[in-house]
Amino acid sequence: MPEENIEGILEGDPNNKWPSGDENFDKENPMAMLPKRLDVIPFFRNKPVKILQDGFSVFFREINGLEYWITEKKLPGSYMVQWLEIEGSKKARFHRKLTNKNGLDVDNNKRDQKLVKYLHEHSGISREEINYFLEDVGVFIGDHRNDILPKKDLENEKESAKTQENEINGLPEKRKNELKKILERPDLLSYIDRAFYERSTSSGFIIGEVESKHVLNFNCIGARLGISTINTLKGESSIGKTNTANVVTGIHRTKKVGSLSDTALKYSEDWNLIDILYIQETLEDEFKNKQARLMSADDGGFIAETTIKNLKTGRFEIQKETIPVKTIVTTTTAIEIDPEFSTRNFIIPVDDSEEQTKRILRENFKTTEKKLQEIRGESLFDYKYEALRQAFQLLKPYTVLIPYEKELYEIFPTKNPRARRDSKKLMQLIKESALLFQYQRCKGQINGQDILVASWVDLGHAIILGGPILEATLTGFDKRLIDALPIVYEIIEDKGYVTSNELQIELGKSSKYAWQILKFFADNNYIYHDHATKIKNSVKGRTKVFIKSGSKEYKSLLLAIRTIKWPRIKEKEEEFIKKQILNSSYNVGDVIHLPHYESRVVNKVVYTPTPINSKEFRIYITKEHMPFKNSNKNKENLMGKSRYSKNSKCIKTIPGVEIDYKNITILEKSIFTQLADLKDHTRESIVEELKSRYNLDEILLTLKDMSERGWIK
Amino acid sequence: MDKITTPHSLTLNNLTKHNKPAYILDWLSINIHLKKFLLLHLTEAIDEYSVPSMSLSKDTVVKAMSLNMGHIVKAQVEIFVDNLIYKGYIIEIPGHGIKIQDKAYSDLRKLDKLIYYQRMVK
Repeated sequence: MPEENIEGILEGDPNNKWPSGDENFDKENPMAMLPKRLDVIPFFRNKPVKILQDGFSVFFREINGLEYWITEKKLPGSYMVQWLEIEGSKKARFHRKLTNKNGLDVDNNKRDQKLVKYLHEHSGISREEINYFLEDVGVFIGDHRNDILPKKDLENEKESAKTQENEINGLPEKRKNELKKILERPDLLSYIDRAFYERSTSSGFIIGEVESKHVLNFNCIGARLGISTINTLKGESSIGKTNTANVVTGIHRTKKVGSLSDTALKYSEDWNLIDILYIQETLEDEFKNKQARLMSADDGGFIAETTIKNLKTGRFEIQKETIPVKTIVTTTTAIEIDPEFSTRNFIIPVDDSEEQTKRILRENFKTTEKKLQEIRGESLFDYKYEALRQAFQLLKPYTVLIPYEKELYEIFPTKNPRARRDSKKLMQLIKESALLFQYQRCKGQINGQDILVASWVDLGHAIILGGPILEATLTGFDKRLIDALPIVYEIIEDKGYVTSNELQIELGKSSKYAWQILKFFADNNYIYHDHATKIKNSVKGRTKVFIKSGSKEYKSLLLAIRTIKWPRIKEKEEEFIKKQILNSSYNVGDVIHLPHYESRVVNKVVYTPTPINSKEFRIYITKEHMPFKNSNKNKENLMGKSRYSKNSKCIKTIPGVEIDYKNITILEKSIFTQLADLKDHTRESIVEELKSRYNLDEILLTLKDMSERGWIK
Repeated sequence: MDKITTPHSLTLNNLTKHNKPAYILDWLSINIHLKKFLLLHLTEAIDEYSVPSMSLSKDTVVKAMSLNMGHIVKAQVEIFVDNLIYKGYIIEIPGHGIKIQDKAYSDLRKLDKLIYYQRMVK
């Protein structure tokens, strides 16, 4: 209702009884009936309370012709409080809104201190006076809340029911406990995996995509709890980027927008209700837009500028509005992303491997089966997804402390300045993992602040799941290049230089391939053509002779991670908890659930508990070559190290067993051939040897089959 | 009684090359594990590269075995293959390429038994 009307009607006696009390009043006149609500508008400090559409303003005091009011707005699930400064008819808010679960009638020291601080610094009114006023307001609102708050209409009620806090508050205790139990599961990642998979036929599902979905989900969790990021799902068209983004963001508070336009962002009013801004498709050019850059985690906010016409002067003016930082999720088919943008961004490659295509195809041809299950009520599709959506709302923001931060310093290449930003990303992922697993981490209070201690498991998650993505983001290297670089450096160390001929021999590939690789490294200043070395080594012809450039030395993050001493990290965590969190009975766990592909389970991924001291975990980190995933076909490889770790015992043929060599399959023959080798074989080594020739699932199944037949042990 | 021979085996025998290899291995003194290793690689290579409509050349077998055995020098593999032909594990028929003989499979089974007994004795 416009303010003038309120003031107009309430001029004079506020007692609403006057019309009926006046004998001369014409009762037939329809104007005799005043709107009922005005009946009860109360006064506070001799000024009427201003009723707004979804809240009210209460007068505080006047100083130098300026009136100060405090305003409270009811939003679904929260209250917004802010000061207003009114000069004549001009209103000005002078600080950002404070969101709180409770209104001004409920005590909240933190919020009140902030309110006092803002007003005191702005107007010079003494803190005591403001404090007293807030107390006064609290009591007043407590008494009059029903009178001054407009009755909610049904539609609003419906909307608010959808929003998180109401929803979570409205849940029965029993359900809340169930949800907490989900968050307390050590194999929470496995639950998330299944939740994304077990969707009804009409909704999208995710199968595989282990790193992409978990990293995106980590970042979405971070968005809810105050860590903002930009996430770009990158890959060819129709590869499932949008589907992955849809399914993951669907579980969080997300707003979908068509494009990153200033106006679209500025006029969105529901900023407080969302955590994630999902821009469906970003074109190559759009990455160069300034607004996208400004929204990165480091730059703190997005300024939308729009031109508006000033009606008085007739001139155009620029209006600026700061929009709070939100986590952005977008998809793109762009091959090259502006390097400036790409460093600020989590580039999440979508798995385009053949194995992944097979998985999806198999699933796609299961729709009838799924539909039948759905109709018969045999499977509870979307149950886990919905439970997870609700469970995530139970997560609370904490200050996350990482006890082993210093240990991580060494793994980042100091020569590469990009590491500065990248190290932050690793930290972010660790924090997000800790926040997601907050029901399983050590919590405490230091100086009144709630803190959460990140565990070594979170580092494990950040590295195993986020490593390939960080690597892709950091270098733009693809797998071929990652593989070739150590070889190039090795040749240079041996011979003092490298030419395409030498690299070709070493790689066993064509000379053109070797040349392309050398050219890429030369273009990116990893190596350079040195004429003097060419003459010195009397290399003839047009051959280019490359030597190592001192400026850049690539150090693969994932390779460096091998050097992490996991037990030391765990010790650090224990020490930290002992020192900082007094009286904590928290025990640091020693098991991490590592994902690996398994064709026998429906969602194709199992999460095996792996102890920190186990040989299996060491295998993962001490492997000579740590394959990594860029945008290409190495997802299988990434998981490869851990996948077979469970069964990495020696495999041997059982002596004395009669095998009809003529009638066995070629794969069985190949396995026997490997076992006839003089060295000891594990399941892992056999797969390593044969994976270039056979399908991975086939090898695993055959091995299993052979062991069941009693041929191997 | 005369030995009954099928026309097929007759033709095969007539066509088969039995050239003496340049380097004849003392087959009996070869370690049984190595024998098994060789025969398995042989059967695997032949299985892997046999295409019904095409003949399999000795060169292909040598290349495949060399690759599968871990890039063993081809000349060395060739000596083994020549000896395997000489010993009748495989035959080389002009125009038909390399064919494996049942002897390879039966000897593999024998070798398995030998390895088993050897272990028992130890």
